[in-house]
Amino acid sequence: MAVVLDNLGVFAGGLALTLLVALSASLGGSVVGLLTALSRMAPAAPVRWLAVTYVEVIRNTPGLVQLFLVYLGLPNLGIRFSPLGALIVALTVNNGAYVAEIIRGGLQAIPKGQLDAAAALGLPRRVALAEVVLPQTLRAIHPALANQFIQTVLASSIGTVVGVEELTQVALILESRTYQTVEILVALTLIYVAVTVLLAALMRRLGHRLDRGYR
Amino acid sequence: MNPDAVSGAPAPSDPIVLIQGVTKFFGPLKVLDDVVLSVARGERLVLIGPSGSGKSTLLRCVNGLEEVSLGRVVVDGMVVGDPGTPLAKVRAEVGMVFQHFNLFPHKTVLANLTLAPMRVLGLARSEAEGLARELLERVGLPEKVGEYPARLSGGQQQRVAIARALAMRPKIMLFDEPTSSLDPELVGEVLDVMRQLAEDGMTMLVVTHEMAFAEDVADRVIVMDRGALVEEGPPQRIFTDPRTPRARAFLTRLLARSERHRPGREPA
Amino acid sequence: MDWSIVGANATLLLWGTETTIALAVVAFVAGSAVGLLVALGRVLGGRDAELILKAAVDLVRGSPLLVQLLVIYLGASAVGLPLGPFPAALLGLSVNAGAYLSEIFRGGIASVSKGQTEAGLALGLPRAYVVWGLVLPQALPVIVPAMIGFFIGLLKDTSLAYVLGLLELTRMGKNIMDRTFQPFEISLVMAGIYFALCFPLSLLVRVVDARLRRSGLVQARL
Repeated sequence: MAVVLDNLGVFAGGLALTLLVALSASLGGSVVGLLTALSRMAPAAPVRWLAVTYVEVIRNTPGLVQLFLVYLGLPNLGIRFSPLGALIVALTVNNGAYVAEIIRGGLQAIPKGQLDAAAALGLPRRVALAEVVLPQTLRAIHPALANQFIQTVLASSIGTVVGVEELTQVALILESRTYQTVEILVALTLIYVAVTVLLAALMRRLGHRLDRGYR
Repeated sequence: MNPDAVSGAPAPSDPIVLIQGVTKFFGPLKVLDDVVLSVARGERLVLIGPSGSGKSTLLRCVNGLEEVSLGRVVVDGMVVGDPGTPLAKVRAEVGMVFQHFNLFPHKTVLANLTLAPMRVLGLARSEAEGLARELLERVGLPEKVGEYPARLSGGQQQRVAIARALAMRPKIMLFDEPTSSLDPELVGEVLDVMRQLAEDGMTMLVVTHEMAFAEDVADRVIVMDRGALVEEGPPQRIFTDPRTPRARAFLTRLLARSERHRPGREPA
Repeated sequence: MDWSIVGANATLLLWGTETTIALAVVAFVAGSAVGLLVALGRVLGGRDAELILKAAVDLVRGSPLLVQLLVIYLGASAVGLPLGPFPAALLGLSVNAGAYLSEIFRGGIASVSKGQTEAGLALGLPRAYVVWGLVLPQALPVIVPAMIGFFIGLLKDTSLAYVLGLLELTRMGKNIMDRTFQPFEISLVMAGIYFALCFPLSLLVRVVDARLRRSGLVQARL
């Protein structure tokens, strides 16, 4: 295990990039997801159709292929990304579809009576959305969103395929230099597990804060 | 003929709600069948009838939660659903209380009460909060101001819901089976609030199965069946001597449980 | 854009697709067996069994599949028992599937109301039979759609065997891309093939779910 301890800085650097990628992709993905979910309720049929198509295509194709499309395929059309940029873009687009579905599920779970009450009080649509619908949706979906974030942290490991120096890649580079395969891979696995456990606990804590009084 | 009726502005003696030949379809199903009804200001109406008779649907047509297929509903001179009249204006005059309360669970009682007055009527926060506290006093729950709905009993939640509707200072209050979801021992506290409201002169349309309440409070009882208005009259007569066969059939079934109101029996 | 190369490499893409499907199907079957054993072990076993199995499941679910494949492939050769890419991928996918499917089984079992278990036990039936013969069958309407959904995920996850050099669809496609210098067309076709495999299954999930809900087999949660 000495090799691991001697190179903690390397692992830390990789982990930092992993978390940065996951955070960016999650924030971006949330925005995309929200817009997509709202688009599904738009009056214009082509807008709705576009949103549905986007979600279905992303959810039925592998993330690695999506990454290849962004990093290797788009340059054919003149759009070039760095490996890191491509990873974040691909993961953002990927996330957006899943977040859209999570939001859609949350919206459907709101009892119709809430909308009736808001309407009966004369609340305009926008106010009802902001004050009644979205806060309740958020409280319903935050566990699923937390899980989605953790999945994104794990998914960021595909960055190794295009050379992004996130956690998996730095570990593999170290392994190819030192040949301490078992120690490094075990450490890599345990680091991911520790991170996901900690993140899960943190998000549960935040979730309770949000749920206070409500449940 | 009232000169104001010609110009369209409602006069105080005009009915506050006019239901004119309202028919409604849900797909192929006719849920309201040419209903004609007028409600005077300050009148207390109770709608009864078997499930599926359309009474809740009729109520929901009054504040535009349901659209009519044929005919029209006029509230305080405004035609509900008329393109020229925003529904928000109608809904500001009409308060509604639901069977399942529909309080906003993520907001405190105070926030539930102040939301619409601030956002729709434009009241300042201090004004809205003052109004809210006053109304909570009125329904007997002043101490629950900072509580979340989940911590209140069903009866308390419904009373808060009544206060929330009253906060908009409506001219009419609609009650859609307000006590049907409550445990029996909690029904009384809600009916007491409703009785007080009636005493204070509020125009009320109530869909309910609470016959004692209807007899005490209603000016008129309307019996509906399969979307049609079958019979109407003062509660004392309706409960003891229903004239139409369908009303008689429904009331016999319903009141068979309560000795006080068996048709044919002298009123207590 | 030149789409003719697609036709020229159709056979290769087909072989890649076959490998992908084979991986997914075998891993799904193996994973289901393992997953069922783990789930039953956790439900019926004692506290020790629950602790060990929970740790194992959390370990697998808390790390990326890509890393697990590398652990098995590189790890096996490092300890002197080298595995080829296909067996390594199969093993890795099966273990991963086992962990996730065990959670699906456990969730399904938990979704059946406690009253069922209590009724069975009250009749004097042994605990193992109550779970296997009474609860599990009632959990199927919840479990089956989730399993189909997981299989869709498995089809997509086989793409990660790329890192082992295995010639499943994604690796095959990448090789073709490198040879023909037309990554855009090839990756689009690859995506299209995965979509053609997965999307019908997505629709199937929705249909099965709706059917099972309507059939009344899903007992109302009291």
